[in-house]
Amino acid sequence: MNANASIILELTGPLERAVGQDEVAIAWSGEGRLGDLLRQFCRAYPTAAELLGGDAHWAGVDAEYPAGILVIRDSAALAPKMETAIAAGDRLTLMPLISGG
Amino acid sequence: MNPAEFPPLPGVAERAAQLTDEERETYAWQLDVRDFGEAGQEKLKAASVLISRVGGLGGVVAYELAAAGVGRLILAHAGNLKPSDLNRQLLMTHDWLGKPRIESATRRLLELNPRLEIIPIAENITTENADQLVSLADVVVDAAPMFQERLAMNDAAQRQGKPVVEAAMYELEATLTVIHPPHTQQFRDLVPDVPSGWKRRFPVLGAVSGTVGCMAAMETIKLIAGFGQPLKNRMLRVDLRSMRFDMIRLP
Repeated sequence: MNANASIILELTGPLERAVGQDEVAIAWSGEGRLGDLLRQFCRAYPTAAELLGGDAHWAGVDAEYPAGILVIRDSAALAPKMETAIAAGDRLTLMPLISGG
Repeated sequence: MNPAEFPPLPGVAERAAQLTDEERETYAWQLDVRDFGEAGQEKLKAASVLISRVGGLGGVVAYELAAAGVGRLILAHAGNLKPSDLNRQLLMTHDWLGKPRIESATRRLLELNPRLEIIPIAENITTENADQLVSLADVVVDAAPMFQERLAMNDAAQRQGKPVVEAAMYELEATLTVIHPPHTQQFRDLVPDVPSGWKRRFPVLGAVSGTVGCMAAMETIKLIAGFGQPLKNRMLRVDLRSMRFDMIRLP
């Protein structure tokens, strides 16, 4: 996939396990919203959707940002908001927060 | 990051007590640590730390803090020891199967450091007990597996202005950060509610909980003694499969 027509998502922890890959490419052009990227990721990888709020969470147009999901670009966590700006060519890490035990 | 941005923990320096000759001998190797010294050791002696669960992760935190000479540990952990705990819960022993975990943890810690004061609580953190337990501590360590407990404890710590060392693990990964509003963001900025899909039981090796437990103990010691640069507004992410360590700036 052309890097300028996609966003690379590195997956960690339970997301990597749910998808079975440590990295995926999402087709993307131009600039857009983080929330739309997460929605597209959940559609492409339904096994991961439960960790991002579940299918029902993304069914409506007014879905809220899923709890406990960090998205990292260039070693900085992005603002956890649906409207956070992203763009084709980005390389992001999608990191569900984990716990002790 | 300038350590002066983060004020010393209220009360610890004022309560700091002189070391005995026996304590100076016991802690001789660490009294020579730069920026720590006898003043840092006296602060550890005066400090109280609440550890939420003393399993694979929190047990190692407790063990390291006991060895380092923290004066008082408040340990909150419910339930009886199960065989599946023994791959990582280093304060537990095989002969204690079926008996309360908190008793095994208390016994093992006092074997290591008989000077230690322990307040054993055979309960996990809840919204009902969080305020009272947090009020007993200068620093809180979150090593709990359930987000409900973590949210309750962080809410109580925020109300009381206490820092929380947040440690977590999954398979061969671990994360570590310090939450101390208003010097950092709130835990609820990261986790506003219980995330979906998190399972109580998850894959992990004991060496992973041990690694992050030691690092969480180090963060706690730095916060109490007031030296170094604690992980405020930063999160350390560790992948022990590849031995990759990343530092993430938090928003």
